[in-house]
Amino acid sequence: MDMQDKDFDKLFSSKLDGLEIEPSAKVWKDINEELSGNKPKKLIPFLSIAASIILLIAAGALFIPKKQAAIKSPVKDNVALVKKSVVDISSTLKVKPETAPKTIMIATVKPIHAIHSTKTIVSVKKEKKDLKAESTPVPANTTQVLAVVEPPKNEIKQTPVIDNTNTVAAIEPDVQQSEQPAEAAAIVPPVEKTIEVAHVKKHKIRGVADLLNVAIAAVDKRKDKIIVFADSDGDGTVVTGVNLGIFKIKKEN
Amino acid sequence: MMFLEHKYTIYDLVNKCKSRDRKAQELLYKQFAAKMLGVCMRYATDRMEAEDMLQNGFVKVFQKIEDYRGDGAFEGWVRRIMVHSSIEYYRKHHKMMQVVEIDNINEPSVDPVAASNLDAKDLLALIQQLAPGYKLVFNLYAIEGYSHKEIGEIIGITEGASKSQLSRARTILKEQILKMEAKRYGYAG
Repeated sequence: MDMQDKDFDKLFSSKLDGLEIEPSAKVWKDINEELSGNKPKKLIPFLSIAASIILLIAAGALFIPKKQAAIKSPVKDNVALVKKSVVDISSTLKVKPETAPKTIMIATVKPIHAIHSTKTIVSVKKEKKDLKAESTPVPANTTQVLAVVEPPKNEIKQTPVIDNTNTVAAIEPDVQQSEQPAEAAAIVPPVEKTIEVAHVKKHKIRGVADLLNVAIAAVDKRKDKIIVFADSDGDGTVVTGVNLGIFKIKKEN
Repeated sequence: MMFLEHKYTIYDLVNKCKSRDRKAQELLYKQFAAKMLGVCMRYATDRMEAEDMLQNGFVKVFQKIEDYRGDGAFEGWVRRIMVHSSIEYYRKHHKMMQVVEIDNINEPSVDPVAASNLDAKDLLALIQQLAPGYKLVFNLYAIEGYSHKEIGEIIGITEGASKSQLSRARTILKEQILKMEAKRYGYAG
């Protein structure tokens, strides 16, 4: 026997219409608060949205200026940047075959040791290889990099090889050797010398960033420090690297 | 104290509530809360949801109490607010017209005698299990007594959609009743 729709509906309405269920005491408590103008429940999602917006802005403020600073002052940044400048100058190498090589050595070695005092010989050597290997010219950047390197370059122009400082003198044989890729091993001794010179220079701490970096380096002996700072022209001190073990950020380019 | 409270008529309480008398509001709430939770339960998936609907409904009752002019039963007025509060809750928290595919196109047949053995608790559970759209239409039509035209206006669907939702809701309910009976009496299937 089947049921008519009406009877079926009635089955539900007759049994459920008068249904009474006692609500918990919390309901009146919440109504009472809402009538008094307190809406604690509804504030929470709003606050969490506001908090996440603030967090996003803060994160943005921390990371965006760092990028601009890296472009403005490439020499003050880390190895990768120095590498790039090496490539840039190697394009000038092609343009001025005779004088350019000397400027290259100063340009590459100086920034590395000024900033990365813990830089090892091996990595410097590696960069030298890069110098030879990476011959792709970047004409657009040439002028900029030349401007950065200018002071030492002028020095060389005035006093070619003999009149130069220790650094240049130390490099000079190296430059000649580096013209022949087969003698890569021979590079090592002169590089060591330049490092000694550079080590003297590293003690010149310029700016807040260097001071901070030295302080951090005293505690953190890792290659990538827990936090790395750099002075930028426009924005004061900026963070260029963070190393929290599993979480690493290193400003490159 | 109980004796004193009962001396207030609903009319007195409503008037005091109009002047935002918190004590009167509490008494009015206590007068209708259990009955109105019974209404909200049919629209909710569980008790927690129903209590949320009840809370929103009563806040609205006290905010709009000036609008009650005394025409018609006060309980009916409160009940309508509860129903609308429940629908509003659905709009905020559920996809209104969530469509559930039905494999069985044939109407399942339900034995009326066996069905009448089901108690309110069973029937309530059956309604609560329905998908939101079906639940709303079935409640409004079969229990509240609204017409398809009114339902269409209240929840923003066409009259035809209301009819087809109701018919699907019935089909699902019947299937569930058969399953329940099979379980209860140990029938196979």
